[in-house]
Amino acid sequence: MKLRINALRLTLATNIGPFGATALFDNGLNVIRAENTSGKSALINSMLYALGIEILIGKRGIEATKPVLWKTGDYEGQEFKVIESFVEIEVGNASGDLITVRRYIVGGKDPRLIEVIFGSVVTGPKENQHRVESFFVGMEGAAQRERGFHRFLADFLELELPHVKRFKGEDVPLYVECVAPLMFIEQIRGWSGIQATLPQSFGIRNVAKLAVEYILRLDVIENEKRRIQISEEANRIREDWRGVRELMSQIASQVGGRLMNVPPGPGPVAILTDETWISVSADGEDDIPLTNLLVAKRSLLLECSGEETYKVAGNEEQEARLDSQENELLVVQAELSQLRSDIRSEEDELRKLQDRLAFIKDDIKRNKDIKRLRDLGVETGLSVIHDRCPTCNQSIQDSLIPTESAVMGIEENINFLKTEAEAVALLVSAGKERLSRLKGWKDGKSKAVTNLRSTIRDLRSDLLQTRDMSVAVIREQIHLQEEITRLEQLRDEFDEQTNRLGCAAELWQENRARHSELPDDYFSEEDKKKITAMSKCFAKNVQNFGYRSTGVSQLHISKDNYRPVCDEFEVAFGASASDNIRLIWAYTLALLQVSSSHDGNHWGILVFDEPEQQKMKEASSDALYTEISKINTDEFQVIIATSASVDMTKKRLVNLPHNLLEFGDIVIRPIQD
Amino acid sequence: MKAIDFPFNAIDKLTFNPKPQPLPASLRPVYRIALIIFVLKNNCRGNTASLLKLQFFNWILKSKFMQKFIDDNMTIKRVFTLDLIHLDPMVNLALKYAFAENLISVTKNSKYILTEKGYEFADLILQDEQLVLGKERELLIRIGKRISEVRLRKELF
Repeated sequence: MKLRINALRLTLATNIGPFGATALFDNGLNVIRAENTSGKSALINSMLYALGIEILIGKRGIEATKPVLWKTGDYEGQEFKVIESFVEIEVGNASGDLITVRRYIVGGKDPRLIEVIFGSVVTGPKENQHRVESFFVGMEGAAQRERGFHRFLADFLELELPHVKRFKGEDVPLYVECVAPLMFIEQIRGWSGIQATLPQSFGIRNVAKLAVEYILRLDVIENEKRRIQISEEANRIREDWRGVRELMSQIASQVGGRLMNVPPGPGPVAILTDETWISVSADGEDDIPLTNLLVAKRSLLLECSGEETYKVAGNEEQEARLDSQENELLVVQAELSQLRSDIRSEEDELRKLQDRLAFIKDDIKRNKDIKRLRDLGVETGLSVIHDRCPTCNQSIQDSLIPTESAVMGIEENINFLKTEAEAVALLVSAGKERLSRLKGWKDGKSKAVTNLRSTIRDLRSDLLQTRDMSVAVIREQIHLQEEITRLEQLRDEFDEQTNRLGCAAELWQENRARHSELPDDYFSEEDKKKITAMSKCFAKNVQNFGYRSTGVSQLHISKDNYRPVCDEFEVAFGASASDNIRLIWAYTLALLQVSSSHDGNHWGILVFDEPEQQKMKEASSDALYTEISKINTDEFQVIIATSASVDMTKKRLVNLPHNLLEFGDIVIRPIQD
Repeated sequence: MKAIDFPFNAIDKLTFNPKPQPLPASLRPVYRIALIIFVLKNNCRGNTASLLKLQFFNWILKSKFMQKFIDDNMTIKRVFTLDLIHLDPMVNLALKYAFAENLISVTKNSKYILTEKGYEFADLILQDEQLVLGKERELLIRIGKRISEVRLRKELF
């Protein structure tokens, strides 16, 4: 039992003296009996107000309470004006600590401030002094900020509220207001359906489901959270991988080679089986690794650093060399211009593909919009949503233009577009890689052109002058030296990236291992037991309460949304008005019963304001009280407010353990000293 | 090219199964209807517009060039010329659907006006938590009611 309400006290200062009402509650069944329009609901509503969950009544702040608490009321024909009023509620937690919560309605403090007194003020001795702290409620942050009342309450009552996702993406604790509608059934809106007073304004995904999962403490919440965490981490690793690979292929293109043995992303198992290396195609020969190229270049440098190479060769030989170099230059220039035009067409192609990809992504977004518009259209009652002609009601195609064959449904269309987007994205990345390789080649070739030109110039000047040393040979050596230094640098960078890739692969493996530990089924074994128990408990309650609308035997709790269903249809739509009330009784009670037998998170409290709606049969109401009294009183507290007659209530409660609070004609009375 | 020897003899019969075909979202009726309704609610005085104006907005939504153009030149005089607009028959078709759905009706001087039902639908879109039609909404709200019927007519003809 997480929450025990000890006492509730209303205090009003009026122009004709002090008024008030006090209600003391026990464990187990508590019945507040008073006549109609006596102020019963003022009492119950002020309970919700004091706990800061008055949004269940549909309004925030003092408007949620009855006017008798902040404007005017009358007592024995005499009208009074309220000058100041506040409500106090004494609340205990599982370990037996008591606090008193005081919230002003008019006069005194701002109604958005709540005073917490660490001690019992209503039932305890008056003279005791206690520590008082103030909290705020009904504003952004009441559940999260340190001074937020609901955060304090959740800590004090040890509610263990799970963190859940909002539509906007951030994590928030499941709000107290979202769970409360399953335990506090308010009179005006509460009886129109299960969780009828659930506020939708918090923007929490699947909030109705989450509330039930929380109360039954299903593993689903935790598993779902873990699942999201793991997949977010996987995305991060994938991105990292892609970044590293991009860098590696840049390095490869700088040496004019290709990246080998690096998969585009971590696969099902990301073990780097083969060593990564850069393949360079040197002068039209077979592809060799970068390291081999380095070795070749070094030995070339050694070869030409011998003494005799510096000597100027004979004129004939020089002319022959000049000739061959000039031919070579022509060839390389031709190759270069070919490469330039290749790059241009490749860039064109890439731009087209990127445009296509952008279009597909837009279209996916629009298709998703259409899905949502269809929901909204159903609400507005459009026929085209159901592929029906609005004029003649015949079936039509979901398309503005006539098509030869049937068109895809929206869901199918989205999937189709997604596969197309994947394919195009693949083409784009392949195109990018090709482009960067081409650019690398181009850079290599233009460098070769510059080198050839200077060699030719040197050879010519060697021919014209007579010197001891050949300028051409020296320049060649210097080039070679520079080239080797550059390649070595790139190789070191490449090795570094290889290490990073190895780290990513390890992380990925670990991530996949955790992924495989997640249960295959959505529900754990324990969850399944709880849902079955819930189904049984609910069916039994329904039968006890005299439900008659549809075959009781087919009633069970849906695994999709935890609502009572009959043949996969939510029963609430087909049941009679009084049977709907019975469904709410049975469901709310079953949650408490299952939570207490299967270690759930139920706060151990139920508040029913006027459960005998829709001219309920007496036998049904009798069964409700009897069923409630069967639960172990250590584990729960039920507060029922009723306007059934005195005799009837007494008769009903005979033989049942209970605490009857009789208020008669009027709840709020003058306070006698 | 060598002809392929298709093994026709080995095959008894061929069956063809029609597969559903994909369709660009802009050809789905509900998408266009929603945009028209939204334009009427958000960009038209008295929720009333001529066919020309609806065509104009349709083109704004379609063309990236127009969106930038509008942003740059909104306050300058005489910016709209007829060759800026491409008339789209799909708009007329969508209008027919919207009319049949009783989302819009036609006024005496043959303009389109939002009905109560259409107004509700537009409100649902405007207040949607999941931000349906986010991009389109942002653009249309930015333009607002600044492009009036009179201005459009004066500058286009």
